[in-house]
Amino acid sequence: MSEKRIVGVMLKVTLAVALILMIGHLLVYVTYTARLVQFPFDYDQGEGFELNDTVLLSQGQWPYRDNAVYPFYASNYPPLFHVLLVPFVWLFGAQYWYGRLAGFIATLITAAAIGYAVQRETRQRAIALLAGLAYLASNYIYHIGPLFRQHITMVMFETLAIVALSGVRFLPSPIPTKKGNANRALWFGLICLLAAGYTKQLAITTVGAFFAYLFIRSPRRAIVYGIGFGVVAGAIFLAINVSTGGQWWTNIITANVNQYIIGQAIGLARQFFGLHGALFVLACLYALYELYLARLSAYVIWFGFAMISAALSGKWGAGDSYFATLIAAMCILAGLFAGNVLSGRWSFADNYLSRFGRRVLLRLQPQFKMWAGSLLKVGTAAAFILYGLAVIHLPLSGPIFGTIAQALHLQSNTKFADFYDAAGWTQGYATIGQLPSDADSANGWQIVAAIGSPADGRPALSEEAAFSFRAGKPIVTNPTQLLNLYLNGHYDPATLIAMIQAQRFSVVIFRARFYPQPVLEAIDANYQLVATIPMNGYSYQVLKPRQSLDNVAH
Amino acid sequence: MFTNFTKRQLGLIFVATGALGVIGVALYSVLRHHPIGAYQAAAIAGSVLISVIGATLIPLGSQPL
Repeated sequence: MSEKRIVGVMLKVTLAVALILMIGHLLVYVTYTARLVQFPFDYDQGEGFELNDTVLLSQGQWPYRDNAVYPFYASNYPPLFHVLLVPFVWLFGAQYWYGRLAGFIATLITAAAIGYAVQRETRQRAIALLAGLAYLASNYIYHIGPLFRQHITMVMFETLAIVALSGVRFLPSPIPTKKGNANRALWFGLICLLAAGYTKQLAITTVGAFFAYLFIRSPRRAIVYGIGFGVVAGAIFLAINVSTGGQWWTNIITANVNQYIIGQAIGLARQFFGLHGALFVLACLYALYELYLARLSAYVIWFGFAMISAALSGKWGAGDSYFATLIAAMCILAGLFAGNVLSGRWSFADNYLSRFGRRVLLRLQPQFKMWAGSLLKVGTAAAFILYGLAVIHLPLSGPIFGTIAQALHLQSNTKFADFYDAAGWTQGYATIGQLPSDADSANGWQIVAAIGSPADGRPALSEEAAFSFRAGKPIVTNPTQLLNLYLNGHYDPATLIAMIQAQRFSVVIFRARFYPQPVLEAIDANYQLVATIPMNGYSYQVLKPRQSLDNVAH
Repeated sequence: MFTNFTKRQLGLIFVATGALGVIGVALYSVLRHHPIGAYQAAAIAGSVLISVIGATLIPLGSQPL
């Protein structure tokens, strides 16, 4: 067998193994989604409040309200994700499945966009497929993909915006593009960018990347479109702020100014690199190539700006999800690097670095160069295998996953007996990922039973909205929002405390005692623990009035 | 209008950004009477790295960004 053929076989085997690993991760992800879609309660804290935002919007009400007034509820997220789901509320009522399914579909669209971008630039189908699947294989994307949360939909819009922008060929490009097509792509990108920003505020970094690239390529268009974009985005912002009496600003901006925990940011950065290091290195190499030897693409600029989003993961209340944009950008760059290595499509500008490189190459033996080139191809493909092995997350039971777990000698390293996660844990990393069990559902219904029925005439004070939804009671308070505003000096809990002291709530449900300290103190003084019910690895505390008000209130 | 941004310009921006980073951290420590700890040292190292990258870009001259 010739040397060339040996290398070809090695490359094919390496790519096949990487693909098998990625498909395995996809199967885990689909199974996880299928189980979550059926789970009727909050799986991740805060999902129920996003459902409540959707319900309020479906009733023509803004979720940006005065937190000092009953029901002490407001949202801290922009409305687009919830607006998109409003028709489902009209059709199916308050349910979790459609929000989780929407998140899952958003990740598939993002993966497809990543694959499309890599295919468009490199014409390497296997690498394009690997790059798209690598996005879905990430522990972080797996975590938050199929949740009733807006973050991953923001990442979808961001990715679509950047991929669309990259499709616009600015003069003097060797690839001619019809002016109409370029404008359409640019407009599509701008619309996606606006959608990303009104899905979650964090998209601001991608807005920066988008216009930075546009400014480099076409300053006039960047200024014109930038002004237009600012006017439209600002007008929407102003309109919502006016129609909510300023509550939009308070809840979207003020409530998101939180303490920055450096230890959390560093822990997450280390964890991120430990899991994604193989592809992150490829992405950085590609970024360096463009920086020194070619022209900067929108992807590389986006990669740089996405690091700012990732750095914000140190904020209280933030976490691993803040790396999702960086992961999408990283997958594209890693795909571009691998695709260029395999196809040899590199083009080097003439400068001191490329001249030095050429001089070094000239001194090398042809045989050595051939083997080094082959090794680079196989090694680059093998990086996807390393990544696939680094991010393993797996349920430990069941006929398929149980067998795989046994074969790999995997044991639980999480708080769940039935789930392995290579990520381990660090502050800010969500302790989720396990498949919710039938026992979790049964225990959730037990908490619903403890909440009582609307007939008792008293609302429940719960740190998760699902139980009140299922019991047919109003959603009262968004505890983390109250805490953020309280810590920033923008929330006076006096009215809520007065209601607690008057025992106007039939029950209090704690998940993590999120409420501001004075509220917690009032609850402890007036309510007592009657049950602790486990669900999804958390102990939910059920508290009832210390002296039953049944004979006082009625 | 400015249609050809160059690697040299980017290099200069990086050098200036890195220098500002170092000055910023130093000023913060002086004004707050805060000794330079591990986080500040890391911030200074990051700023220096940005400056070094910028310095290596300057010789690329008028190559388009």
